[in-house]
Amino acid sequence: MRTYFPFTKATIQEILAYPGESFLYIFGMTIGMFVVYYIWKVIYTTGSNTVLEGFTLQEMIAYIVLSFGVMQAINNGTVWNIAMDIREGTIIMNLIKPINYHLRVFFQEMGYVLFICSIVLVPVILGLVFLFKTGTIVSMLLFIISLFLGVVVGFLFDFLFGMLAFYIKNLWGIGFGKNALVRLLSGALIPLAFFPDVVQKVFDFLPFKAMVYAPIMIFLGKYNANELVGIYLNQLFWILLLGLFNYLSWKKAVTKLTVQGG
Amino acid sequence: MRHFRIYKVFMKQYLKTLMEYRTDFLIGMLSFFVLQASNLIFISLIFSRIPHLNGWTYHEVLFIYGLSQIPRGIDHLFTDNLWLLAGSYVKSGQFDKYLLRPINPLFHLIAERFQPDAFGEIIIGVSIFAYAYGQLGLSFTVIQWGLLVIAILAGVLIYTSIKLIGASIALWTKKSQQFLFIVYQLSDFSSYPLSIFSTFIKTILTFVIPFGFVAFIPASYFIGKPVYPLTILWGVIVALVFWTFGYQVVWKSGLKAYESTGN
Amino acid sequence: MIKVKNVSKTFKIYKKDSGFKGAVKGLFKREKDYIEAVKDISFEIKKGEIIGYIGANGAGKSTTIKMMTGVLTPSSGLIEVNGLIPHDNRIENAKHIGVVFGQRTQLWWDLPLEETFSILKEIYNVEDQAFKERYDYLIELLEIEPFIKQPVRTLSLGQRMRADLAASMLHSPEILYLDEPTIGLDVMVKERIRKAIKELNEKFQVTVILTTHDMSDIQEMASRIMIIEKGEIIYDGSKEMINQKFGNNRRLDLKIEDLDEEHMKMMQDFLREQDKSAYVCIEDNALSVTFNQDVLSVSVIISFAMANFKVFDFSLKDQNIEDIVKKLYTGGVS
Repeated sequence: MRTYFPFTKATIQEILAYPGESFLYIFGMTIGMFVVYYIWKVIYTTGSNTVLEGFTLQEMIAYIVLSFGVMQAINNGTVWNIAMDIREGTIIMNLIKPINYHLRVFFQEMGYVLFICSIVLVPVILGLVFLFKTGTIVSMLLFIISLFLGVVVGFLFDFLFGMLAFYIKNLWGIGFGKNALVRLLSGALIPLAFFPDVVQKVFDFLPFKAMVYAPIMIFLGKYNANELVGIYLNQLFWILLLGLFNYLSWKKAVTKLTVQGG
Repeated sequence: MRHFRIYKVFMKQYLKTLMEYRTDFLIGMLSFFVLQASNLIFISLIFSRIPHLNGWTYHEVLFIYGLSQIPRGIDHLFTDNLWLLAGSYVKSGQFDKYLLRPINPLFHLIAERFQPDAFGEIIIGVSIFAYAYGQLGLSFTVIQWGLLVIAILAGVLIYTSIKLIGASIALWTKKSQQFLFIVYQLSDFSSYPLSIFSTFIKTILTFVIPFGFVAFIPASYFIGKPVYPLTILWGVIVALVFWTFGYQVVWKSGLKAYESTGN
Repeated sequence: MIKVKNVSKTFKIYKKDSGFKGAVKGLFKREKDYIEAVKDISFEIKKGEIIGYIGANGAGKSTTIKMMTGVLTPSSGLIEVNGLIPHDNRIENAKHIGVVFGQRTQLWWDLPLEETFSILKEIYNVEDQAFKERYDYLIELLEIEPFIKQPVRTLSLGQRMRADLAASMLHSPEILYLDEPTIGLDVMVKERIRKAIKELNEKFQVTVILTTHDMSDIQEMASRIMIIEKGEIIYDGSKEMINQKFGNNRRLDLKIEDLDEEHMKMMQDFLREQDKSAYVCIEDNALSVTFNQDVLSVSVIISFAMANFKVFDFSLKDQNIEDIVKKLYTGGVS
């Protein structure tokens, strides 16, 4: 495992090399977050309810802020890095090296995740727990575990998606669609509880809930002990299932590459 | 004019390659449909809880949303290469190519690439707009249709100007794709009534990154609840101001900076 | 027609410490440093000349070319190309120049090659008749017909270079800038390209400015040579003079057991009588002898070495630019 740490370090150094870009990015995301906040504020003040689908306004605000942070951690460069490797053929170089490609990309992206966590998520959850009084220290710790699991689910999903670059020349257009879909179905845009009940049942059969909705709900303490275990198991299930898909399709891709050439 | 002939040649070539990559194009369009669908679902879910958003009804919000996608799509159709300027041309050194040809480099950059995926945005935009138009019981006069066209064109110019400014930053910083991406995220939300936002955000979305003028503000006029007097005129003025600023100030000084530092 | 007078170019760069700590520090404080890429260079080029512009990497070649083509503005000094200042009149200047970058193509990657040509015809506004004549001539000269319908991205490097060369000449430019045009190509292809460039120069009187690392490029094509080193032009003269002084030089590297200064001195004493211009040094654990093979044959040197030293390996190379430059700094050219 230690052999992969340099990849993480390298990503962080790269990010720090362009501080302006990272700052602008976070600033822009913050504005986006405020936009969503205002929409919800109006919704809460217009209606006569102070609680919608089990969320008070305060909890909603916490949800919005967290979802932006978590979305950032999930929305790393996995897809594009893989797609570029495939398009430019450098993926073959990775096969020659005695390094597991999956682990390498994962550790690379963890650099970005760590960056987001330290700059965004850590201050946010500390602020939410101690200043804003949503969530507890316990729920915070449980959140961190779930977040990590969610990031792994997201990574495995993104990896599979990135492998589409073998078949589609330009993933850029379809990437937009995928991001929008994930944003909607993972709860990043709107808490899944707001969907009709029928639709909500489907979400358990998709990996997206595990990426964003699950950790955030854990933070807000919305699950009792049983449900909590169920959520963790669900996340683990997706890691195993997606991991299996990854393993199989990667094997197939590698065979195809080594037989046919780049 | 010569530029028109050059553009025609590029287009001819592009359409030829398009035929080769039919599947990619269809997938791209499909993907935009998905993006649109998720935005619409968001709007519908919101309105399933409340009857109106700060005085704006569901169909009025759909009207604004549909309208917002049309200039966005049209700009996307023609100026997609600006994304590549922001993302790779400067960093890789390919940008020099545009400086070594005897035509305006910005024209060259833009003419070179045509993105038919964007038809997805335009089609959806028109469909939603038409639906909302019907549901709201509107009936435009000829003059209003004319003003609508003008408003859309102004919207296109605003999108292009903002993209140009964002992409030109790469001439200084080598890469500005992330920044441009974020700015674009903002446009996602500017189909909501600006009145719900704080003054700070309102100001940003109206005067700094004027996506407000692309959809909400002109739409407010067409729905019959104009937010400013002389709405469409203001839209045109803002569009022209931003284009002038983007092209004459930002792009040109970006070029100068690029030429003095190379890459 | 090309005048370069007292031109300098200085770049500002930000220095960053290496490593993780350095990256963090770089967020708060960055040291500025100035690099003088080009220092006060001057030269004039007449119509129809073929100039070989050589220098080590980072010596200032590309910077000079970029300034001459108008892509980069000089920090000081004057550049005039056919009466125009390139960076002030970039578009007008571009009409009369052709540029080929060895490392990057100007062709459209996804399009069939012939489509690139028809696009360029419009961009450079070439008249139909003139275009057809040029087009036919270039296609034949560079033997492009076999792959003209293929997308550029499927072409081999050699094919792409020929295509780039043809593309750069379609609009009958008066000046052709070639930045490392033969880099990475195999010997046969290099030959064809050199022949083609020479023919173009003879037939159309195109001024050619060629940057390269390859001495044989110079040998075959250039009549005049300019050498730039660390931003300064240290030689500007005819090929003959260089040929006389350095042209036939070769370098013999001897791997000797227990190599030391003694060996070097012995070799120097021996060579002093045979070839006054020979140059001996110790580099990379080898005894390196640069000599003029018109004056001294390699077998003489090897015999001497083998008789007097414990030689366990040796290699013979053509002289490279660094050797010439080293010589210029130590020996000087009058």
